[in-house]
Parts: sequence; structure tokens; C-alpha cells
Amino acid sequence: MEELILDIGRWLVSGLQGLGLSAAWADLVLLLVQWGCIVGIVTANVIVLIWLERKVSGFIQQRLGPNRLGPYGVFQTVADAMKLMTKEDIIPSGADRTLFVLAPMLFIIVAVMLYVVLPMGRDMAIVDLNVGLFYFISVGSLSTICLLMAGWGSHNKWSLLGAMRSVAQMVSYEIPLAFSLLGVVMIVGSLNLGDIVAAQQRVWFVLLQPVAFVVFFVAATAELNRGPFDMPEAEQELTAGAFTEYTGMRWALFFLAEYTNLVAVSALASTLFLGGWQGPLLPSWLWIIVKTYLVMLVFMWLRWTFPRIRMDHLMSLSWKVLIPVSLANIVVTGAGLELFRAMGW
Amino acid sequence: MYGKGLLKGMAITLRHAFERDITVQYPEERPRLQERFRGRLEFHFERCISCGLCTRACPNRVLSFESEAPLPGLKKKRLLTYTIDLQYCMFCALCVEICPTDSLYFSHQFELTCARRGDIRAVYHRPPELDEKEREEAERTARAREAPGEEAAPAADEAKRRKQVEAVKAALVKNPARALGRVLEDENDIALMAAVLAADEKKAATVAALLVEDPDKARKVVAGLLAREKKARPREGGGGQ
Repeated sequence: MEELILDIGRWLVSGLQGLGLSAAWADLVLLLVQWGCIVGIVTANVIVLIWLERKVSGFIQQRLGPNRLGPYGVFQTVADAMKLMTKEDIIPSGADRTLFVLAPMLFIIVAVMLYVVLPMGRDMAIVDLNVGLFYFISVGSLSTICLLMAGWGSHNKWSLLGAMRSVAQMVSYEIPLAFSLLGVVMIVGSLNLGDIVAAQQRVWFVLLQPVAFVVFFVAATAELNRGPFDMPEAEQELTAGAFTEYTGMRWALFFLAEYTNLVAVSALASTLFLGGWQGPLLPSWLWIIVKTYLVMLVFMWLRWTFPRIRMDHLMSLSWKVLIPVSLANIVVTGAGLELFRAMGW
Repeated sequence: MYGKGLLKGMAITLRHAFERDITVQYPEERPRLQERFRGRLEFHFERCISCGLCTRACPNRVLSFESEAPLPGLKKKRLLTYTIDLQYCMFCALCVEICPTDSLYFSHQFELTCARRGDIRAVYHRPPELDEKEREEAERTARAREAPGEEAAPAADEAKRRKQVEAVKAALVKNPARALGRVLEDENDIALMAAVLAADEKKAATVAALLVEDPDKARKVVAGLLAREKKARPREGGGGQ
């Protein structure tokens, strides 16, 4: 079971070479297949996640959630996707067409790009990048630009204001997010996600870096635009901020990308703090799925528990609490590392 | 400690997540309605006395009716139709409260959707069997007036008197203050008397009969009984003086 997916890849490559393709071409085909797998995983995950989110919110509010379409309402999201795809595609007359059309596409592309470096099992990162974490954070921050594009391209002042609000929030929270990860990087001494997972053989970093984990979790919630920090969307107060003018599938792409980001960030959280794919009995790729889903359930639990925070509180939480705390965490971690080194561990 | 409130909130939502869901799956499951639930306003045709209090009480003029003069010899007006135009009803229950014969009531039927606007208007027509019943009754009274029965009247009086006595007897047990208030003033005396009468059914029957027929004599008898009782139980009776 452990080698199942890797075996499929090897079998594919050797089969192609057997058909007379050169090794380089076979690898290229493999890369395309892997890309297809990522997109498949993303789409399937989003469909499951939206259903799960509705069910979780329903249970928390003592409702049933969707239950009419299929067993336990599992086909509800499929029906919704159908509806979104058949909707009319409206582009406002004053909109900057290029930006307006490009923004959702780039948003989803950036979200899918995150998956390239995630180790989805033992030796199962698509690209084993030695600056994997750095790549993840820098690509992740690109989504801010897409939001701004959407807001600007809509030619609607409220969309633009919503986009600027989102950008302010996401830029502010990127800093504690990156700082909180530095503690882990300092302990491991590597930015390679595979190395970070390997370093957690004995003890998970959530135990060594609990403060960093909490800061990471809060900052990630804000980065993902999820409740209680879902200021950019705030569907009860605004009409979805930067997404106001979007309809049908274009709007759905934003939605898709947000859930894709959720999966990516949850996977990152389990990789960095919860031991990644390591675990007994089950194959490694199943372990990362289990952990990722548990982290996502906590994200949902948070969202359906807390009321939305006020914008100025949101900002002061980042600049006055999370950044100082994560900086202090780096200092303490560094001092501790030096201390242990001096003691000869 | 920071974050304690957050943890508490999360504990609450987690607990709710595993509690029983309160959703009622409506078309398959029927909601459990309280007894006083106000569903469709409905009407007992036979009880109505066409007094018109309901139409006056209704703030929205939901109710209307047509009636005509009673058959000769009868007192009750003949109600012809009764209309409840439910589309204007705000379910305030003023008509239900004011109706002296409880003809109006709220049923538990709450699915009031109609395909056409006129369908929500409920018109009650006079049931034919009611006509028959009334005609018979009118004939009977007419016969009685022509040849008043010799025995019938006293017998009826006697029955009426016996009913009244029974009612007073019941009142003596249930609400002695009111029943004996006509013959006794002092609260302690009433309480004492009630105790005596509750203990002795024969006395209670006598007093009840006297209360109905001859209040003066009843007052004397009760006073006598009271004096005797006080003599027998000086301590308790003395308290009231």
C-alpha cells in the first residue's frame, strides 16, 4: 500500500519508455499526469469540503445540513456546481475586461501552484524543492494581487474598497505567518518540506513550537479569509467585497481557489507541526490526508463558533499581538538552540 | 488567562455538534403543535347565536354573517351564512375570546396555501338538518303554549330546584366562602362552618336546600349550628371573636 502511488508512476514511466519514448519525454508525460492528479484532487476536495462545511455548520447549529440530494446530501455540491456552470456570464460594461477575466484564473492557478512542493506521502512531493517552504509562502502571497486585480477590474468602487481591505488584511497577516514558520526552520535548519517532516520522526513540532503553531493557525485563518476573519467576504455585511461583480463560473473559481488554499494551508500545517505523512499502520499518503482533514475540521469549527472580528481589531491583532509574539518566539527558539548546542546535544 | 472565553465558546459549539438536531423534516415529519396553537380559524355553525360580537371585535373585518328573524316561538336567530375571510385575519383571537357560545376556534390546520385568492375565504352555509331541528322545536313550543301540561310545569320546577340544591352543595365543598358569604360575615365563622358541613353530609344537604329556598331561615339555622359548634370547641371558636 505504501508504495502504491509511486509504483503507478514508475510503471507509467517504464511503460512509456517501453513504447519507445526517451526518458526525458516520459518524465514530461509523468509531470503532466501529476498535474492532472493535482487538479483532480483539488476539484474533488472542494466538492467534498463545501459539503462538509455545510454539514459541520449545520451540526454546530443543531440543523441537519443538506440532506435531500443523494445519501446525506452528498450530491448537493455537484448540483450547485452544475448551477454555477449554467449561469449567465456577465461582464460589467465599464469593467477592465482583461483584468476582470484574468483575476479568477490567476487566483486558482496560484492556489494550485502551492501543491507542487507539498509532500503528499513518503517521497511524494512532485518537486522536491530545497526552498519549498519559501516557495510556498511567496507563491501564496501572490493571491493578494489577484484580489486587487478583481477589485480594480470590476470598475466598482465598492469592489475596489473590498479588495483593498482584503489586501490590507492579507499583507498584515503574511508577516506573522512567515515569522511563525521560522522557528521550525531554525530547528530543522532546512527549508525543504521533506527534511522538515523527516525531522519530526521522534516528536512533532507542535510540542516544540506551541506558540508558533497558535500564531500560525490564527494568521492562516486570516490569510484564508475565513471566519472569524472573513472580512473580505463578510457576506452578511458586504456583498462579497472584491467578488461582487462576478457571476457563475468566474465567481465559482474564486470559491474553488479559496477552498484549494484551505486544503493547501491545512496540509502545510500538518506537514510543519503535526509530523506530516509520518504515522503508524496506515500508508503515508493516507496519514497526510487524515491530518489535513482534521486541521480543516478545526478551521471549520472556528469559523462556525466565533463572530466576525472588527476591522481595526483585526489589524491591531496582527501588528500588536501576533507579530511581537512570533518575533519573541524566534528569539526564544534561537536562544534555546544555542543553549542546547552549548550543552552538547 | 487569554483565550479562555474562546475555548469556552468552542466547547459549546462542539457540544451542540453532537446533540440531537432540532430540525423538523416538515413534509415527512409533522410539527408537534401546542394545544393553544392558532391555525385556521374555524366555526361551529350550530352553536352560533348570531349575536354579532365577533364581527364587532374583529379589528380587520374578517368576519361577516347573514341572519334572519327566528321562527315563531323560538328565540334564536336563524343564521344563514357565516364568512371567514382568512386572508385579512391576523390570528389575534379577539373573536374567539369574545364569543359567548365558543362557536369560533383555532384548529391545528396550518397549511393555508391556496391556488387562488378567493379560495382562502371560508363560507359556512346553513346545514339543512339544522332547519329540520329548529322546525321541530318550534312546533313543540307552539304545542306547549296551546295546551300547557299540568304536570309538566311542576315537575320541571322540581327538577330545576333539585339542580340548584346540588349546585350549592358542590359550592359548599369547593368554595365555601362564596356559598356561605350570603349568610355569614366573619371569615373564621365561614371556615368553621365549612368544616362542620364537610364533616356531616346530612347537615350540608339541609343547609344547601335552605340556602336555595329560604335564605332567612338558612341564616338562623346556620347561626344555631355555629353556636353549638363553638360551645363544643370553645378554644377554636373563641379565636374569631
